[in-house]
Amino acid sequence: MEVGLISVVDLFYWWYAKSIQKIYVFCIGTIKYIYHFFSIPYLIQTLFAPWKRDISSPVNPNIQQMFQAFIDNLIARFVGFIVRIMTIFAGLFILISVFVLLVLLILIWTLFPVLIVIFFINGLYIGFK
Amino acid sequence: MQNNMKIDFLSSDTYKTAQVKKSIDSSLVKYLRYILYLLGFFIVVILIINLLIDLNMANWINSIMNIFVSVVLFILMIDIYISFHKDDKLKVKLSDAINLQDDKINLAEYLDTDDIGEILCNAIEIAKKNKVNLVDPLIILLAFQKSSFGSQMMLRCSLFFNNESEKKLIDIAKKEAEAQNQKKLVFSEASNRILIDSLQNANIRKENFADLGDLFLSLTQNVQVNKAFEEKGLKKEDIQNIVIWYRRMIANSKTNYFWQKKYYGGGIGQEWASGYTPVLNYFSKNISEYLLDAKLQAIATGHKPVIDRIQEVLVKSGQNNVMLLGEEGVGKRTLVNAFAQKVIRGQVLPFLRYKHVIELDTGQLLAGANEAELQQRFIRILGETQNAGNIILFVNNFDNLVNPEVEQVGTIDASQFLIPYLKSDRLQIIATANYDSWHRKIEVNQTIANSFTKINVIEPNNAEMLPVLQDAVGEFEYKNKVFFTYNALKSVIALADRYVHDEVFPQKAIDLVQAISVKFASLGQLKIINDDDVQQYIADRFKVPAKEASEKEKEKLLNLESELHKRLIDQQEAVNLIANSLRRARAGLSKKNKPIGSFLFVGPTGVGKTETAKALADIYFGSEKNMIRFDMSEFQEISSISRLIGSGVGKQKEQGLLSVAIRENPYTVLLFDEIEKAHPNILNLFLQMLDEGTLTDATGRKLNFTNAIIICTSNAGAEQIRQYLKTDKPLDKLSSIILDYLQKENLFRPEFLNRFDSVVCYKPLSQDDILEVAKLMLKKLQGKLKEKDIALEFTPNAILKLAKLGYEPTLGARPMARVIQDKVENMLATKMLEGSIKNKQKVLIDEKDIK
Repeated sequence: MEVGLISVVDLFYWWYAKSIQKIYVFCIGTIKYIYHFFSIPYLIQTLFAPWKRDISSPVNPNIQQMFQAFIDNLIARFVGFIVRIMTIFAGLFILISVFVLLVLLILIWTLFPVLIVIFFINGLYIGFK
Repeated sequence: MQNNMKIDFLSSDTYKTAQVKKSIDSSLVKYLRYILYLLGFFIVVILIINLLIDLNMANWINSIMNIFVSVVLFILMIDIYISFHKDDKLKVKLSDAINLQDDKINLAEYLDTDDIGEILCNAIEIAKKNKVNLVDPLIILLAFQKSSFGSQMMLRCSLFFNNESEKKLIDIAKKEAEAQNQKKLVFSEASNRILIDSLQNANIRKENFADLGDLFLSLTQNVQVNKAFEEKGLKKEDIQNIVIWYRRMIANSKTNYFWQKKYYGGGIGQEWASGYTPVLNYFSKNISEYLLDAKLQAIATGHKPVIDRIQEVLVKSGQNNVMLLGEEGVGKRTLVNAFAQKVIRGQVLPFLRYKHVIELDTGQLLAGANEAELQQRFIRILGETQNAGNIILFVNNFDNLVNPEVEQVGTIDASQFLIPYLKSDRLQIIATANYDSWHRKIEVNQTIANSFTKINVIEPNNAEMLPVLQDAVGEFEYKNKVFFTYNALKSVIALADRYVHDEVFPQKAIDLVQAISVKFASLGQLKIINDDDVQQYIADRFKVPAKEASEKEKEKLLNLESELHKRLIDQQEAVNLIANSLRRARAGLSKKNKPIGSFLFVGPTGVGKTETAKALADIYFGSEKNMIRFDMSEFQEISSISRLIGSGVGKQKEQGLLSVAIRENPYTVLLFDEIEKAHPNILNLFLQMLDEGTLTDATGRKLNFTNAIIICTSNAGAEQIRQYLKTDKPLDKLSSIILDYLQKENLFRPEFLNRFDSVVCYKPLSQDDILEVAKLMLKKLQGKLKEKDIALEFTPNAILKLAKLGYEPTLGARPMARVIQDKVENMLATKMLEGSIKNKQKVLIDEKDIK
């Protein structure tokens, strides 16, 4: 059976068999992209690193300067920690959301031909009701 | 092997899909489809709302909406299938399909749907439109013209078929179809063979689909198609180059969706782990930012060893700074750009991945700063760079920052601020300099020089230049609405190589392409620039016979003897020797990097040595003005070397007479008169000039003599020539006898004499020769008076008398000019002033008139 020049059998065969690899590539590619964008492992590695390497290291310091530098560096690390931990959570949230959306996409993909049939039969059914 | 292979494009899925794609890709259908999808989406939303809250829609509306959505979804499904299924339709790989030779496998499925599919659909359309039942290779070639990339490839080949030539090709195909008595449309055997060959090409590339390039290359198999290419001077290697060029272009033009990305960058985590660089940001620009999609593939491939070496140096522990050394315009900056692109794409060693290559703006950095401010700026910038941890600093023309001669106005020396940072392993610098500034400014400070690992950037050769120029030309074509054919680009490279010597590749070729683009810039229709246009441009700009280099120059060389004889009396052997030598040089039988010709003219004075040089300048370079004469008796002291090639000692740098002359006019005859009088050390300079066609002047600049004819003259050996001629020995031995004499007497060293293409001996002039010289000189005088409408005539006796008066065996033809001046010109001048000779008057000079 052909619609125009397209064989319906080929179409369905591709949809349910051959396209799986493409869907797989798309899903993996999307997750990889978001994963790299948030660079979560790197954020974990540098979780307590000072924010933007903003550290002070005075030359030949006295006690007060040492204490001041210690406080400054602590603040820089704290700011770094807060921003990174929030980003990690935001990244994880977006990653999970995208994962759910991708599962939905696979579901819609699988049901797509069925949806066509459902809408068509439903249309006829309502029309003749 | 090909006999068992089945290829049937007309029954393939490739054809069907290409047909559908062709119809749905037209802009109207494309927009209609998008409107349909949008409408479908809204209807789905309405249906969902209706499900949730009853909108009291009439049943028939609800029914139509449902059926409409099902139709839209079905169209969407087909759309997705058409767009994405082509890679999945293959049952086996192309290599297996070729090896299996299974007639159940239609090899047409391995032709790329997007480009070959489109072209073959076009071919079928052309055949149908012209009622030809056979799609033969000529029709496929015509179909290339109807596709976007295909037509561009054809134009690069200088191929364009207008209606008339298109009709001719179709007629050939029609006759073939009639001969085969084809009733329905089929692909010819030759076309199928070409399609299979294109699959073989794809298989060699280890690809599963044959692309446009594979088909284009295979088309050259066809005799008639090949003839069309050959008529344009294109060989198979040229077509291959064009195909490779287009593959690069197509690869660059393809959209890479985010899920298809092969490189992601360092992510936000890496940015946050690097330090702030406010001062550096002010005095620099991040070149990585705009390089991600730049066309630098050809550079990166051509300079792979250099890029790999940069990587090696930057990742090693300890001092890891790179100094790229090369002539101005050799592509050092572009090379850094190509490296920066690899860094930002993460295609380098992990340690360098996703770092930023930041170019320091030395001009802005040095502007308006005193030494203290400059020190502050340097400390801040280098400190920030060190602290940031993700920066590779690029300093173009590093020599601007260091200057041992710091007392000169406007110069600075930042060595003292730089040294502590250059030794740090936390700072990575890529710097560039040319050889001259490296030696003069950087190398003198050993600490600075040792902080860098030197990497030489060598000038690409003509073959390496081609892909670089192909990548560069697009920008100029787009800006100026011009289009360079492949042959035009080849001409640019060949002519830049031949005529531009004060710049290096790739810059000189890119500059030429840019200048030609601007010259032919078009406001309306696209201007196709072919090799003729390039040659014309070069001929106009450099005043050289570039356009007729192959035709007119050959003619000149073939008739050189007769041209020279018009101006020289006797000297048959000398003229033959010069003409043969120049012909050998131009036929490429002599060494390539040498002057066009180099001659030592020996013989008595006044026999035509200088006249020969003038005649050569006139014949070969179009005017006697293209001769530069040096009287070498003025260069007898060793100190006079500096007058010739300049002086580079101390702070006062002077240009030499020879340096300036050859730089300003490289297409010239250089005449060094009385060479034996020059200081022997000056003659040493000639060794390199005559042997390699180059000479480095005192300021370090390379002078190029490959477009010059070098002539040295000498009176040495004149007496020996005279003695030899009295003996009636054969003339062809004269040169070697004189050469022996010159060496024996230690007048010239053997290595000097051997560098010349020929040592040409001039005979003393006899009284008969002087008579001919007199005739030549009087002819010139007649020409001068003809401009004033005075017809001057001489009786034979008058000429004879003048020849007698002007004959002096030791001085050759030199007294002749004086005699004509004294006896004829003076008399004529007086009479003209007296008014006894007027315009349009005939003047006859007899023996008696010469007193």
